[in-house]
Amino acid sequence: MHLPQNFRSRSIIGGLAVLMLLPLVVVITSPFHASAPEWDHVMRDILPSHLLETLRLVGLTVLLALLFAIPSAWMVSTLDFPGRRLFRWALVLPLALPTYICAITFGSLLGPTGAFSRAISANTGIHIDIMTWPGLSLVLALALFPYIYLPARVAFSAGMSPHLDAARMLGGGAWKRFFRVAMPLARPAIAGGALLVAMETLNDYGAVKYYGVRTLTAGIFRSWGGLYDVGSALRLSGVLLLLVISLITLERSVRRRAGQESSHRPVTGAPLYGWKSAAAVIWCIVLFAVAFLLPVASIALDAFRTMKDLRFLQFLPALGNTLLIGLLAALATILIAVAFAFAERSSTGTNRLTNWASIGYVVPGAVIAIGVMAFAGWLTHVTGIVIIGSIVLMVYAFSVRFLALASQPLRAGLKQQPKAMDEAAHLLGSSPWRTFRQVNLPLLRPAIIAAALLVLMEVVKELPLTLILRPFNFDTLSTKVFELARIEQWPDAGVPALLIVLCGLFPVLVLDRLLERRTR
Amino acid sequence: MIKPLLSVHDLHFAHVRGQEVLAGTSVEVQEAEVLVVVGPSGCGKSTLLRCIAGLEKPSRGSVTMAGNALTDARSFIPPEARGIGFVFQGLALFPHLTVKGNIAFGLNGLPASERTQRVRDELRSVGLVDLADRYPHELSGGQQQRVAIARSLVRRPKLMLMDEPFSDLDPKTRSEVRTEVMRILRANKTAAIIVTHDREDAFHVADRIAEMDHGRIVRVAPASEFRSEWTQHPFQEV
Repeated sequence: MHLPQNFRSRSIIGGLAVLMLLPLVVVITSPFHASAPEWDHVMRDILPSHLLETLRLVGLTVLLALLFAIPSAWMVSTLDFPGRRLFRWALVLPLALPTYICAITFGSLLGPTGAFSRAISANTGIHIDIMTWPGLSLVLALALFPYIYLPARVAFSAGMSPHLDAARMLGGGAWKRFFRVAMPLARPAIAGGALLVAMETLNDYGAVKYYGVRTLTAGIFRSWGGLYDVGSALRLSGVLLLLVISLITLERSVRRRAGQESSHRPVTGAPLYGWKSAAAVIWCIVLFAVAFLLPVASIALDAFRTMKDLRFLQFLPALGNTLLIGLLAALATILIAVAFAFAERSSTGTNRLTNWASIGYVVPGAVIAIGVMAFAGWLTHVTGIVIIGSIVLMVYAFSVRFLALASQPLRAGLKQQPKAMDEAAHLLGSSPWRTFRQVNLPLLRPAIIAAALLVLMEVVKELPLTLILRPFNFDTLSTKVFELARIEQWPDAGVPALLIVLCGLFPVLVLDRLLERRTR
Repeated sequence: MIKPLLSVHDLHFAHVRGQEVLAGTSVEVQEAEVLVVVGPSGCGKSTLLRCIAGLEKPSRGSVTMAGNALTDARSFIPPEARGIGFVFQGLALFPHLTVKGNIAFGLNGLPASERTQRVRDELRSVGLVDLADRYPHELSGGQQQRVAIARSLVRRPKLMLMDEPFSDLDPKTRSEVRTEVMRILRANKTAAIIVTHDREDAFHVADRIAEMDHGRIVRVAPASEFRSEWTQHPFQEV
């Protein structure tokens, strides 16, 4: 209808989408354009061991996370016992702990020289060391199981009540209802959650580095920071990307095999009595205490100790940097997300492209960082503009990684605005752009604020991407926490770690509320 | 008088948020009798069925079947142990199981050969032999209906509860399925309580009709009695 304008907005949207996809293209095509002097060594000595350790770490972590998540989700959704309503949301809270903070805290308690380990060894003679790969799997599963617990809870709570009722009327006892009806029906939701657990495990750098587990992400850091070979780091990133893609394909195939209708009758919890009720309560309490209360209490205690002598004031610059980078990243990401939302609303025919552009969210931060860096290096080579080691590059990389996070609330918000409203504005002589600016956008404000907060909070927690792309001597809260842990001064990191956890609580609670509204 | 198969006495049920859905409901069903419950939406018809099935626990009152207390002040038999069949509104077929799998679901503790035989007999009796390996979404509405009924009947319940069993069907299929259901129920001598808000359905299937309003059964009478009344006031909503 408005041809010239349509063409212009198409080019802008197309350009932005290409910019979002560029780091991944750089990674995938790296064997053709980046020389990798150390590749022989990397392929022979690093790749096999790192790939093997990645696979077994991801496998065990997902398995343990399923073990924690599914019984919990089943209990709080379909059974009734004291404290059920409290546990229902409390079991989501471990998600607020970034994996590296959780892992380091457990390391400081149960590592070879940990506080608990020493006490146990003094009293019983048993030596405890959690800092092994199975130990790391356990810790990661404790931090990540809510990714499965949340969708499983939704599936068990709302979608399948008629099927569960039908199974009861056909004589199915609790076990049969669980294994023959609930599990097959919840499989797509559970598979989606398991995929997220795997992604987060692949994404993690701080925890694997601290525990000395050699994953592909650790291999990328080693090639880049130890061997100074960006080409090899790019190729390892490509391998990691392939792993991500195969996991997504696997999840899709599981998801396709079952469909689920939803109903609005909430499942009424079958009351538990006696030892069964006690067992359910104990399970929930222990899981919540170990996955959330214990690490948070330990961090809070450390924070409290360092507050007495004002040592925590040394973190003020890092806090400033974190907020600066977080706000800039949120701003940039929101601008792009709004532009894409507008393009989708006014059907400029770029939907496929803008959908692809959000793929960054499933790509490990280290992969994006290496891709962005290679691109910046090429840019310097061609134009002479130096952006490596600048905040611009960090902001760019964060937009690539968190675009999907910002797009989701905007898309949902726009969906609630009837198309007829836009049409009314058009009939009143308003151009599409003006309609978007003066009608859609003002109504979208709550969604924009929510999206910006989500991005900000994620940037605060983020570690691997920040570590690779930060300018020299530029510390954020997360890099400070990681540095202190590396030089064995973990107790000093109490205050910044606590700040990060508090930041993490916000999106988790919002997510929990949103999902609850959908089930009620 | 003959002893009734099912006797429901003074049931009370309220949702968490207060309002009483069943306010002292009492009703009886004889062996092999089809009782149709009619009434405006929200009058408690579905809740009555769910209480008889044991899917909801009434706050007061009793449910007795063939002389055994299913629900009373002291005991509460869980739904899976009541031996009552239930055809849900919307059917609730298991989407991940085939027709055969759906029908076999409720046959516990039988040797495999007998299980297969029972499923085969049931498939034959509802005319679904050719569709045994299909999934529910590959069936028409009428076929799905028959699977839902076969799934319950294969357990040989004394009593079937059916919640709006014909409401999702188009008019032609509806009358076919209705006839079919009645044939199956009569052949098995199974008693049934059928909830509907459709008068025509009620006439065609009922031995007796119970009218429900505000959580109480206000009147029970042979279908013929209602029929003469309703033809006189054809436009009054049930």
